[in-house]
Amino acid sequence: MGFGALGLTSLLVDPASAVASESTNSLNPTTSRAPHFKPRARRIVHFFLNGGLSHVDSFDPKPALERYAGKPLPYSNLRTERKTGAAFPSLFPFRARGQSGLEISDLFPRLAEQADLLCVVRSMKANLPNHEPSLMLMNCGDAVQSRPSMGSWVNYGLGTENQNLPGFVAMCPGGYPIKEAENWQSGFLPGSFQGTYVDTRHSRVEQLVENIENRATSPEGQRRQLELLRRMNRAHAEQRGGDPALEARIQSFELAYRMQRDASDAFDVAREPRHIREAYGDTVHGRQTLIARRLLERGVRFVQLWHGAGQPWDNHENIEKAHAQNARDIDQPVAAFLMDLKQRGLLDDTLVLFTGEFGRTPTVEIESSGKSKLGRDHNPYGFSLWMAGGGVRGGMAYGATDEFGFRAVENEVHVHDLHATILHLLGFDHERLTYRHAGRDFRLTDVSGQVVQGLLA
Amino acid sequence: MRRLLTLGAAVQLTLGFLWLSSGLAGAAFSATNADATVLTPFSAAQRSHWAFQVPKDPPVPFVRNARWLRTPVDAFILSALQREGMEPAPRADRHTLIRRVTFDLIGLPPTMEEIRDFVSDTHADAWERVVDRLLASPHYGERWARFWLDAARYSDTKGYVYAEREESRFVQASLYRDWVIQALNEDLPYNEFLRLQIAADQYETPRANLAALGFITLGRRFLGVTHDIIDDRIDTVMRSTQALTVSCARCHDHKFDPIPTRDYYSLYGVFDACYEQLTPVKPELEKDPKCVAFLNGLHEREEKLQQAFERRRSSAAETFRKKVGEYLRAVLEVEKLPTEEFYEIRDEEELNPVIVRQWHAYLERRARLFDPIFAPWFVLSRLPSESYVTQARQAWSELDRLHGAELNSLVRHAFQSQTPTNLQETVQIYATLLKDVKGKMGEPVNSDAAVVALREVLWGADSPARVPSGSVVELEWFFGEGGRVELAGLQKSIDSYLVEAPMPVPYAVALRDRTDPKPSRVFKRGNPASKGEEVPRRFLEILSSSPRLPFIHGSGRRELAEAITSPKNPLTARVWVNRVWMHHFGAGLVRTPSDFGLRSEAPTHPELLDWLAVRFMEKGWSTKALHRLLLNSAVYQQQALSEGQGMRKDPENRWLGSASRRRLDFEAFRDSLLQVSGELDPTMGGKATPLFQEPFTHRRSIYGFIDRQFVPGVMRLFDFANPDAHTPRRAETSVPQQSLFLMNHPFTLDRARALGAQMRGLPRDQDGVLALYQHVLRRRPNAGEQSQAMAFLRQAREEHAPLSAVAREFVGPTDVRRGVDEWTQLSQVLLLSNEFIFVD
Repeated sequence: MGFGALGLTSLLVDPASAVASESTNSLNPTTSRAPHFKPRARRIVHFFLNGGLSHVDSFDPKPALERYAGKPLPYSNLRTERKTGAAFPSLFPFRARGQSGLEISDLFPRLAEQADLLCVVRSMKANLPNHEPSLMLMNCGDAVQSRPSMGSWVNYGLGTENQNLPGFVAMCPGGYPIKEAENWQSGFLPGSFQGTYVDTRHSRVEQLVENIENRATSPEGQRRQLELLRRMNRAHAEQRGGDPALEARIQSFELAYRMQRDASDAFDVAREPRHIREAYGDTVHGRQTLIARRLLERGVRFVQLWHGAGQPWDNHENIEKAHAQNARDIDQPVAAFLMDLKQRGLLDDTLVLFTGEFGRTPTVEIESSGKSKLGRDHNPYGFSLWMAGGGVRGGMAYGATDEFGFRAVENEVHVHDLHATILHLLGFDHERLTYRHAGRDFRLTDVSGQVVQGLLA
Repeated sequence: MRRLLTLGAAVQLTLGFLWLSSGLAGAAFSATNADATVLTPFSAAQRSHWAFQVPKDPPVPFVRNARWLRTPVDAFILSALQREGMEPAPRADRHTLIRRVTFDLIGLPPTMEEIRDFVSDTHADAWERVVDRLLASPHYGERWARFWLDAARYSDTKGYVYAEREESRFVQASLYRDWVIQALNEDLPYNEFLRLQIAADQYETPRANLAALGFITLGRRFLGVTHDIIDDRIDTVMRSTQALTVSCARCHDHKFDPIPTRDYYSLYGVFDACYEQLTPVKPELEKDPKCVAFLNGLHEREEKLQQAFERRRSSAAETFRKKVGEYLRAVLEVEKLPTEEFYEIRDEEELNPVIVRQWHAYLERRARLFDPIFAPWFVLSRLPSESYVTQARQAWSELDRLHGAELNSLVRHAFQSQTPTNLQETVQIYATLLKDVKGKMGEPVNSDAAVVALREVLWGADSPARVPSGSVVELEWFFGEGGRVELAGLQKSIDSYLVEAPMPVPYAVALRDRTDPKPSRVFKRGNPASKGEEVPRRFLEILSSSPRLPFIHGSGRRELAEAITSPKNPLTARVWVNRVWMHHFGAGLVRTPSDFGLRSEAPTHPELLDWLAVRFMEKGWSTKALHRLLLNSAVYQQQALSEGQGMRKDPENRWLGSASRRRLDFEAFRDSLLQVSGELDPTMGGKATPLFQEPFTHRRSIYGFIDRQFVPGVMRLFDFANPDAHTPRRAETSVPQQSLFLMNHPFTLDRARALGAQMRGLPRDQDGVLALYQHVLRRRPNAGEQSQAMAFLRQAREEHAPLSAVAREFVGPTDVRRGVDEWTQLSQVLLLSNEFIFVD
């Protein structure tokens, strides 16, 4: 009894009855905390544009770049990973969209139709112009040290809504992104808070979810096994006067049995009506996005959708073609997803986040000879993202970069501020959602972060 | 803060120390001092905290009901129980006891024979002999090493690396793991165990012990960022051995414990003064004919690297010298460099921030005293551009008048012939002076002291235009992209060659002390770009006697090891005793085994903790003696009670009125599955194998390949230690995915198949059921269990009965066709049972 037993009973507890108590924290790392205040969102989906979306080509119009096209900017370029040269205007025309008139480029034509739902932040900031630390910062709140990811923190805070599914699912077709499983690590939180990775290149459920099916025993055979197991375990527990730890493990086999059915169901998009499947599109990203909706509506807390293995958005050269292709992959699914959520009334308490690890330079990347590569380098000094749904204001743009889009200058939002705001929307004070580890009370936002009030609905 | 320079001030400024205090120095230059004797004003609560007092040898308490006592440990426990109005639980039966102690010491279940022997043993020392037998088993080290590996954040890989440039697997990992296993099996005294892991290279000891340094070197590599590598080392050493969270003091003084930031950087200095060196630990193999070809291949690769390294170093230095003017200028704006280093793709010709910083530090050192070469620079480089002409003239003539004779004659001559009219000209004068002195290289070296001194700046051994000596790994930032790629690739070819060596040629990565350790400086708020006061390398203030002496030998690692293992250190013995206690009793006497600081819970039995710590040291720091002391106690041999059986009063079992029922951890569970199915491969040591790749390895889990970047999901689900940081204690969660693994993963099914195959051939079902129970649960089934199991077998067969052998071939994937028959299914049920995985 003791530590372990408390841990496991709490994992199985109904979240509605979970009590927040800082005093039980040190004893019981897996209890879900009741929110600190009324949440605006109950679940999150994060579209991760890994590699880095160019903001001046998508959500941050910079007409001044046209005037300087091919010429050096009137200030020296900021230090980035590689050398960049002259001003490089947007390759995709911007237009005012929807009733709000929010300006979005033609890179995402379908998504642009949903402009009135989007809360665009144009003054994002990260720390360093390299992928690895920036991925870690965006996902785990620390560029270097091994820390739990946002999805793990959210599950640690909110607990599970569906015991038959993992609470945190990370999908990436074709393999891992850069930094691999570190992006959804649970760090010093218990391992069960780690994101469950799903390779959505596959389409059959038994390829998608580990151990979800027994290829050797029939369902009846398995049922019979679990029946015998239950009887044995019961007798064993009774001899020992009942012990919550024994009880919890008895339960977990029942849950696992149900999980086999429920998880199969959740990942099986063939069960969707044709018009829905068509709306999302019959592509890897269409399928992956549709799975995300099915998971979210079944109570999965945090779903992360990566664009693909490696870093598809990292377009150092010929960005026009590469960005257009990437955008084509997700434009339709993401737009369909927003509409679908809205129709189902799920958008009200689902927070949608759409961002990579940083943005790209407004200047063109050049070779050491000075020759243009027609691409853009990494830019952590200023970039754009958008959120939609649970508790954020739609049809608006917040903050601004300088005249050319290099550096955030107005209402700067650091990644720590983003995290603080997301936790706030989920009902948590980011300074109070902590976990004691190595003598310190750690939190997602480390020692920084401020809720960005201007984004809240 | 720039003020107009008066004549007097200009002159004063040339005197380095005054220059530094003038305010012109800029924030980054401002701190040096460091009064090594300064004492931190710790609070009374901090000073008197129990953990910082040397353990006293308390008397064994007198108790009533002394019949229960088996060892002095029991007296401490019983006295506390009586104080709480509680009683100990009855002694557990022998079957329970031998199962408990066998799992505890070797992580495997006892055999039927061992159980029978013990149950029927009527000798008074039956129990003691069981304990001795288990402690002598080589499996003991395999079990207990894993606990230490959790503390040592063991991994076979470095974490994320740029794959095309660096071997991600450690060369030295399995050697370290095997060293720990052997050390525990041989009962190496714990103080020696620690000394070797911190400073094996500093002691007269067999070369094989260099493997112990894996404790320091096997952390995550953080893409080569030194500050984080050192932080990880400080954290691992200090939490494992001292149960102190020293890393909390990286950015500011520890919030609760008496650990000032200065102490953190004292330890930082120790680790910063070391470098890593690949070292063969069996030099005799050099002559072994079987190894010759292998070693030739290795030396060839090493030579290639060495050549490329030298070539790159000298061409880099050439470039840095050529650009001395640009670097001097860049130093003036050093604060504009990014505060955190980032990976910048830069060719050799571009200004290198590392060299700028090196120049900065160099000039800072020279500014401390009047400098005959750079004195004019310190004045003339800081003048406001608006009034440069007039101020430069004034400043120079004043400097020349007062100190002209002390200046380097070449420098003096240059400024006498040309007073610069702007900063660029000053830079130019210096660049020309420093570069042109090379032209006189052909002349006899001692021709002119001024020439020699000037030449030292760019060509001397400590020139800031040089790539210092050291390993490729730590020097990569000194090179441009081309050099970095070439050198890292060559280093990788060496590491990969060793990792993939077909025959085991053991190489350790030894730590060595630098010959010229740099003084350590506090990083303000943890920011390496913002250096504060200088601190000596030395041990923690709160644990040192006054006056605290700085470490004086090399890096100070040996002195650190000695301070940690000193019998006067109040923490070391207590921390280890508490860990061993935790692994036997489910929780420590201090419930935060790696944090004995002010915020930790006080020990439940402080006198017992001290008594054990004192005995432990008295008995030569013998861990095996400590095991005996604990296991022979009556408190260890109690029954495990449940809440319904009287545990309500003390649900967390703090007062130990019961044994604690525990679930097997990942390793013990996996190893036991293999053991009961008769498949465990007992081979010890050597290369690691991935645990969940088919065909599955049958070796013990400790030999599994741990890739900290890809810890298999199964292992994380079963609460495997996070290999990124010291793990004091594993979480114990129960989630349905664990059950899914047991129900459906081919690893479990294979074990059930192996068991089933052994039962299938027996003549009668009841023989099979009996044998299966004995194999898996190590006992006979009772009548009810017997009939339950037989009914299960019957039903399973009925389901298949209607299918003829031919039909079975055609009916989809049926149970039979996949080789899962009724015996396999029944075996699996037993493997999944609570009785199998819980230890009473």
